[in-house]
Amino acid sequence: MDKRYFTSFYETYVERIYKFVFYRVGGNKALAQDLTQDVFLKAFEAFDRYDPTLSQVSWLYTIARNHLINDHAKRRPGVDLEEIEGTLWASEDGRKVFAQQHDEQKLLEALNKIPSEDAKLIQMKYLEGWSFDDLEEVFHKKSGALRVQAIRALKKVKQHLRHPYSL
Amino acid sequence: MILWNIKRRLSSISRRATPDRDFIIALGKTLKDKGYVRTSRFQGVMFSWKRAATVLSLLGGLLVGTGTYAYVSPEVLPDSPLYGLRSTIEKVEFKVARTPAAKEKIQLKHLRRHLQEQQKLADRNYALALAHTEVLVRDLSETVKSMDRLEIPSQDEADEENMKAEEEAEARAMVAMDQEVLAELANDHKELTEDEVKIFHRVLRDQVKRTDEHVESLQELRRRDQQPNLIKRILRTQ
Repeated sequence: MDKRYFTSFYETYVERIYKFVFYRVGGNKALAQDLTQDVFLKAFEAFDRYDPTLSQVSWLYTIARNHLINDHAKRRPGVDLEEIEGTLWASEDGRKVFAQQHDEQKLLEALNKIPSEDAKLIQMKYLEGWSFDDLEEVFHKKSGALRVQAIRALKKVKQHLRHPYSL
Repeated sequence: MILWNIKRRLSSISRRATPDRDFIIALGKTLKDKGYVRTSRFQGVMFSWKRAATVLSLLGGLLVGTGTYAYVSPEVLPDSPLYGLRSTIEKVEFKVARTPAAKEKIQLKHLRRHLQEQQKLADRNYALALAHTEVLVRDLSETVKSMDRLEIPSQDEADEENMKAEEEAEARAMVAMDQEVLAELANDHKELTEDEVKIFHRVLRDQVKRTDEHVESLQELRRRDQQPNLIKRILRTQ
């Protein structure tokens, strides 16, 4: 695809990719910025090979995820990214951003207790700002099914908030 | 905690993770150094113009709709906030009229309308109606005075026998009388009671009707004088 069209591509997705990276590096702002820059530089280099018939968001998500896996392998060897992808964990800096209020902290703890795929869906939809249509490519499910799954996931979070000591 | 509250809390957390504007700009510059080019300024300008055109057309439609309502609606009276808009439109209408005769017609139309407003206002708010009467008297006085400026076009010597001098003199005499009546009314109206104001309005109505007829008669004189001239000019050229 012609690199002249990269402008709108960048402006549309920069915030979403930043948040995607941000929540997977424990809320470390400086690291999130570096990794986001790397993702977009890679995307720009590969843009003329991008097939416009494919989903833009899916293509960019793949680049971002692969870059995160490589970075994670260097920083935290022995820990699989997939294990923690559905878990919201926070560095010291991240906790300042994630949970400024007590009930937000409880909410994030509850989110960590639900199944990882549900947590990943809630995280990507409500924290990172993806639409259900975009998430079809990520979860390989129809947007309607994802909406239902999201509602059920939120109900599980609600359940954990009411009964914080339940398994 | 119901579901919408959970979504609201998640949204609040999400907003705090928004990237800094400076970072986005800096990354854009880095990409530009690598050869990333912004789409043409023209597209940006088109997008702005599109938005501006949409906003302007909405505002224009609102203004035209409001202006039409203010001008046409009989419910818009001097105590209405839209009355200023109506007055402005009337002034523009008067200025736009090209000939003195057209201006007179418009002035009379406005005068009739102001009188109707006055009557409606008197029903609702007697004190305000009385205050507005002065404006109405002034308008009527100006209309009558300006009728003096209506000119009969100059005639060829050969056409002078067609001019109805008597009719013109009579019309002008009526105009002078109207002015005298108005001068008296203008002095007296501040002392009037409610019943006297009603009588005063009736007098004003009659005055407007007579002024209307006088203007028509003067215009008729012009028309009658012009038509024979026109026919004669056509005959001369043949």
